[in-house]
Amino acid sequence: MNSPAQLRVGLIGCGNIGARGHAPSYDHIAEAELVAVCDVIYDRAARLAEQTGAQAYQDYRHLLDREDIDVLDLCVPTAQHAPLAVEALKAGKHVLCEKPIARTLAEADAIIAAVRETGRKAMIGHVRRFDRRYLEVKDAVQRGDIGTPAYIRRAERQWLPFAADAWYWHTDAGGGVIIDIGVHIADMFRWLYEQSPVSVYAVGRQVRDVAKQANSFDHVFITYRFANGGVGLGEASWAHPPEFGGGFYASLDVVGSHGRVQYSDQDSNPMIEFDAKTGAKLPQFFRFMSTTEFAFRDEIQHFLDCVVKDQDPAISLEDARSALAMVLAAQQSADSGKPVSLRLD
Amino acid sequence: MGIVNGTVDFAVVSYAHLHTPRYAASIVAHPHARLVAITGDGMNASVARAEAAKYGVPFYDSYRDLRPELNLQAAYLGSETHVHRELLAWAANSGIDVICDKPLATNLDDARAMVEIARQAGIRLMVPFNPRFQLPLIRVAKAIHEGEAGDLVSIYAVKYGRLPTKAQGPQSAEWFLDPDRAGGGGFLDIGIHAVDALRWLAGAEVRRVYAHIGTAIHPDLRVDDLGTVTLEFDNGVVGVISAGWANPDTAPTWLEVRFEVLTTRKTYLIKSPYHDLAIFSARDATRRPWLRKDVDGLVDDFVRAILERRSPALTAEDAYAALAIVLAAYESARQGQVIELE
Repeated sequence: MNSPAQLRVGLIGCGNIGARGHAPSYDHIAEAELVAVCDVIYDRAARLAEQTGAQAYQDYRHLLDREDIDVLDLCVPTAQHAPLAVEALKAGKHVLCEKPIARTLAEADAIIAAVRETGRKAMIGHVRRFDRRYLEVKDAVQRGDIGTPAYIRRAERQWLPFAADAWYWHTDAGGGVIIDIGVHIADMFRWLYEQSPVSVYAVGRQVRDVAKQANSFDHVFITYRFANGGVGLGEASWAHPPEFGGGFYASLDVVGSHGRVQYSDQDSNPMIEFDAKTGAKLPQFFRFMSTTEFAFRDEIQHFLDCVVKDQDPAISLEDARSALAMVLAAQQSADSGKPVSLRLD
Repeated sequence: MGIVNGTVDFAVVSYAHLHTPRYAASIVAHPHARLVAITGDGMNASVARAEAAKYGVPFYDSYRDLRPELNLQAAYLGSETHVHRELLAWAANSGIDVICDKPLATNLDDARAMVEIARQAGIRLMVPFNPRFQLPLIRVAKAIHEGEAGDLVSIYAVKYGRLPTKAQGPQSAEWFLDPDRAGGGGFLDIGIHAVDALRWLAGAEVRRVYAHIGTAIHPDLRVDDLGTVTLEFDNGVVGVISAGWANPDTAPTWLEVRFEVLTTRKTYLIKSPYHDLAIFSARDATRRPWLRKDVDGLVDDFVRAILERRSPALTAEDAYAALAIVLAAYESARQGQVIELE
């Protein structure tokens, strides 16, 4: 049967993740159609509309008003997640929202309450959980290949190209490397341990001039201790040299009672490329240095499946709230220089 | 390296430590060193006796049997850690310079006393920390200390070995698992190398220590097998170390050592301390170094320090500082708090 799309989607936020990560995914998802794209910078919406055939908007309220839109995909700065998500849910839309869930725990609770109230579905895009390399690691751990995990080390490192006034640098906008990148690490630890942490200790540094201008850490080491005694060491950095990212961005090492799983972009890369000017380089095979486009596609597909089949998404809002609580505590630890206790679940 | 004249006569004291055969071989091979005696103090006396026969040098049951007529100038001390203080006292009395394998002692009281004994006797006391003589780290240290790399920001170091009792060969390593004789477990045994490497690269002293250390992998051990520590140096450098007996039997190397260094100009990812190659046998797959300059480098520096009448690259104070940091990490892990060092 050549059925028409079952779900119509509006995308709010046509920046990096929205335009380059999410929007192209809809081309590959049979049961969804991207019908509207919106950005406060109208040109960005217009450009994306031209590429996708969706209609461009500058004011998100037009998307709330459109009754034919079932799902809103929110790729806006973190501080706008909760206000937009709550409004969208109350307008009867299902919501897929970028990580972290919100800027504060109270805002996260507002989203959770709005879902209960409206019966709509919402999921936070913790995209690492849909990334095939990390799914392989998760599978290996779940199969018992390495026994019980006892120590996990995760690093996500690059050179952030944005100027000091970009929201990414500012914790009050939900930015800063601890919150923006750390939340991926926090969620990965909880996902692999299937536990919540009881304490966190973080040491941050302002390395680059841009970080000093923004008065924001760009290089941080975060240690979580979990209820079962497991330890997670996360390193999040925007302070590496500009060429560092692509072939070197991520590494993950899970030490278990009976073995280890190791992943690193560097070791995993199948080729080296030589160039007379730049010398040897590890080529980047995916649009983003941190995520494959397949992961975004699988994440969106999963959420839309949950909407169609009326099932609970694999990542609960409580999971996303816990990840936020973990990074807020890490930020507090880095700011105060002291370990911070956590009581989650 | 300048030209030196003379020869340093060494005794190798005790084959309790798994490193002893490597030091004996390095001393024998050194053009300005001579191995003149081997003793069988502590564990593995039969191995000591066999090595003495192999090298054609006299064997003695104990260091107490080493007579002044031997005119020893130096000794390598490879005993169980808790015996180090007694052996050092003998060396100091005899005016003998020592390489004492790590850690210096099982506790800071002994360590402090040993530094003082060595100072008063005017003998050299070197605890050999291999990273100082590993080629990739020498390269990074040079770039940092000579300014090419800008300022050092952070170092993350991984040092994982297998459980020492899984070592092949005739030596027993059972005492490594005894807290009274070893002073600690995998974190102390392996992590102390990384602690010294970070002090060296940072060119500064540690002020704040936060750690988790536990028996994570081998539940029956009486000592820890895995730890992670965050160190803050007085010049702002951050050091993070994961260390212990975490390497599975199936890992292609006995040791896994990585250093990841961020400076204001460069990133260095060191994936191994050694140049190596892969051997796939019918039994297993291993990576073996074809170049290991570190033990020879340590012995060479020590021999030249004696002949040139200078301090070795690693001093008694370095040995004490590294142990103090590791023991502070254990204290932090016990308390769940940051430990501040003077």
